[in-house]
Amino acid sequence: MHGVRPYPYNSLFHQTASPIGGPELSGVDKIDISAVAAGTRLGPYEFSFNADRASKYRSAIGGDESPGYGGALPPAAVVAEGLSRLIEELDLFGEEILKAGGVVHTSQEAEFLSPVMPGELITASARLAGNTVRKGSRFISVFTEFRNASNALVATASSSIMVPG
Amino acid sequence: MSGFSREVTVERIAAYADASGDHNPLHLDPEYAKSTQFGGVIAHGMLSMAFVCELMAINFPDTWHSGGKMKLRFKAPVFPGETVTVSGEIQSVSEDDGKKTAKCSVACVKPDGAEALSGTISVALP
Repeated sequence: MHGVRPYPYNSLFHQTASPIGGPELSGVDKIDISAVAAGTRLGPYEFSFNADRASKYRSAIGGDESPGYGGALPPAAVVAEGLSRLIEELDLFGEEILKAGGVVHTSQEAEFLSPVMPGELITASARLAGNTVRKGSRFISVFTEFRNASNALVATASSSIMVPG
Repeated sequence: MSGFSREVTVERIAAYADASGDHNPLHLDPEYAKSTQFGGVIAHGMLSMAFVCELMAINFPDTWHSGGKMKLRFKAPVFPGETVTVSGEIQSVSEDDGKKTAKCSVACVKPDGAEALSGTISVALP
């Protein structure tokens, strides 16, 4: 089992004011997903994809017919980074959850509103939209907004994840 | 829509994990993955989603970044060594205030014909 870790436990997360309302998940030593109420605010997380990482992402998903994206990031990269940060904050790869079979990503929605360029600073702010148990498994859904340095909304995402009971 | 195929290799999954920051052992650790309901390593669902995004960027390069909207369901795991076929079809076109929007169905299909992912997408037409 993970030991008790100070929160936020990843110093790479830069905490800034979130435009999404709701109680914060702060001052928590150890995340117990069953105790996190719908409406809880997650993040915000600041990140950017530098040119090297953007190139690695394009290479990982790409093929001969891949588009150039006009120099912008493939838009799914931004959503993927946000999801990774959420999973880390909620400790969904924690030992207890992995022992129970691990999490399963069941559905994903996204809306892309504006291109994001490599190096552009993005702030992701999220809210736990749902946290219910059905047939012994927990289903959580998270809504995330992604904004650029000008505070313009560049993408939104809704992720649904099943956590084994 | 013009579709394509992608082979999902162990190397591609590892490269995707590094680039996306998603290091779920279900995708990377064969020993752990063997103990799960899947019986082995599977690819990230978000990798299949990224393929679908590529499909849309190829077919709608001018508008996908700005107004593309997707709703996808992950239906079956993709295992290393499988090649998925990524395809889509325009189901309808609507017009509002002179702006045309296409509604599309999309899918990632496994070699056995099972859908790894399917869903609907709306995208503005230039």
